[in-house]
Amino acid sequence: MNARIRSLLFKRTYLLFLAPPLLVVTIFLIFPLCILLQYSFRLSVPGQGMKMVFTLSNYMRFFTDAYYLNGLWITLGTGFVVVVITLLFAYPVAYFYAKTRLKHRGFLLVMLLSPFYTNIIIKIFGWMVLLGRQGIVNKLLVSFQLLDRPFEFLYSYIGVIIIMVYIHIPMMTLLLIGSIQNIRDSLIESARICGSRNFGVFRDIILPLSIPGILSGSIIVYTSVIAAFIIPLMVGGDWGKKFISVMMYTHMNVTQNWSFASAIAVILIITSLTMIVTSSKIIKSMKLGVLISEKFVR
Amino acid sequence: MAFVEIKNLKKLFKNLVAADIDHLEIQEGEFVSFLGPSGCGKTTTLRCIAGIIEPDAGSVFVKGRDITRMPVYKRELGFVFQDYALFPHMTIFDNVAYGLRHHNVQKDDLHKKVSDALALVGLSGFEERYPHQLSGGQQQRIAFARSVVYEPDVLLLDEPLSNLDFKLRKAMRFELKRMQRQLKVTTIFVTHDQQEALSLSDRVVVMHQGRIEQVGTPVEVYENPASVFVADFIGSSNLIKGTVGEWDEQNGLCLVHIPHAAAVTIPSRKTLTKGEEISFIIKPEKIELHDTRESAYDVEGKVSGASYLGSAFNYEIDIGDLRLEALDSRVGYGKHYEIGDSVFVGLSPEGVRVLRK
Repeated sequence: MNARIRSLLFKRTYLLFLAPPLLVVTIFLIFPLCILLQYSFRLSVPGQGMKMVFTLSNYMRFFTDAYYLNGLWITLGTGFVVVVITLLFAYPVAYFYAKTRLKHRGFLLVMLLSPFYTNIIIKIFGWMVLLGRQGIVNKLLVSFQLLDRPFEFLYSYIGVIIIMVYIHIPMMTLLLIGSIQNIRDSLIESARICGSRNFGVFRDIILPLSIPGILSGSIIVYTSVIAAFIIPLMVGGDWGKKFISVMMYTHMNVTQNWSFASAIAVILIITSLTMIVTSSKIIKSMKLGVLISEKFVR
Repeated sequence: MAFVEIKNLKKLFKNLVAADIDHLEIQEGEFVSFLGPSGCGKTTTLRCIAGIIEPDAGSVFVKGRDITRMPVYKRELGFVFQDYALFPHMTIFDNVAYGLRHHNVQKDDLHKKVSDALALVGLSGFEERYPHQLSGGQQQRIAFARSVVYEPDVLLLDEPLSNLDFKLRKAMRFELKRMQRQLKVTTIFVTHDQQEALSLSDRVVVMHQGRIEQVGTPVEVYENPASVFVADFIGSSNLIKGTVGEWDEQNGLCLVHIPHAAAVTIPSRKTLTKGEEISFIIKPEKIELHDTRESAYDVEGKVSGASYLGSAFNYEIDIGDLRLEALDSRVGYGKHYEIGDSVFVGLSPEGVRVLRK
């Protein structure tokens, strides 16, 4: 058997192994997305269902109404804000976990992952109890005289942010741990021996070398935040209605305008994809971290 | 006053003595090797000096100042790691300049110093490359340049050559010695390779189970090992145990009865007493092989193993129950022994060292 035939055969077997996942992705992801795209160019008439016509009116409606555009920016902006706050909380935890030599690291990981064991609705209810008017947070703030009267965390933007950050910290931490653990101790020691103090070591070595983790964590948290709709729906109050995901839900289930809801979905997918691609391109062009070196070089 | 001084340094790992050094002094500009098998405490000691690990007791002085509890960044040391530890996200220039930037060196001066350091290691023109674009040997040179460019008081090298292949390792050995001579930097070199230690060092510190076994020049530790361990670790040695039969004080000669083997006469600088149990060593290359009895020191034996090493013949010779290893560098003369040959083993007086147990 000559090498050409063999390589062809190899390619064939390679396809064979790839077939099942490809099939699943096609049926359950690509196909529905195509339907979604198709719906977005149709016209939903209340009470009559969807009319099989081609129209751009759904998109026109979205881009000409400040209400929807505003919702898009609020959603994308919230994604950014939550990513930044989550990073600030998750990074020290991840660093501690990655570099600690404690015996009970396994236990720490179980603790870190514990929020995953509970349903999101339960977690939100838990936070509603904590953040409510009579909740422990308000009681503490008032009793330490930091506030005169209870603050309305719930049914406000702040409540949404607090719970979103909480929900995403474990995921972000896990992804950061991986990349911080990859930083060899000898690099850190070398920097110290060269005369660098703690902050210098962090700025020059640890932070740039953990950028792959920061980037992947941020992208995952960002996509999760802009798609989240239970949190704004349950604790967002009037603010919650300004989230694109809640709008989509309303048009899908309340006004039964499936084609407009589909158009919103398509717009959200395209804008968030563009944002993720451009932001990672910008970060890569800044030549930060190992993105230009080691594993990332092709 | 010594340039580097280690006093009563002690480090335990889970009640196990990792390093226990009573006293060691290193002079300015000296190249000292810590030599020993893995787990002997050489790296632990080096890391205590660098401040990467904190000793449980004792102190380290450099230029008379106690650096034992000093933060790492204040110690003014250079350190080359086994894995080189080059910063993967920085260019070669930034790697080498890293220490200078943290020593407040001005910009013009910085460029000059970096290019001087790169010239020293023979890698001028590599400034804009990244570590992953360099070969192992080149990375090693850059690691060296980065550690010496800011003129540290002491340069610490943690098995820097062990990741290189054999040929490159040999070449780098000469390079390292040349660079160290040129810079006159006080250097502590950790290795488990006796050839590296012997060829590079002004003095060798042989370590075993956390403690210093012997400190001396390469010739001293090789020719005159202070203990059985040193004799065995540095170059393979024949270790022979026996009982003193006769002790000739005047000529310093001793008749030793080797159980189940023979009685041999060996010289001793130490005063011995009759009936004393002693050990003595002889290096394989110091054993002379004769066809016939040529001197009073010769003992008859039988060749039980022979192999050709290219530069020498390696023999195993049985004298009774005693098995000796001999290295005969007289190759090319056509004469060699086969297994089963009878041979006279000359334990030449200058090759024998008596060790007390």
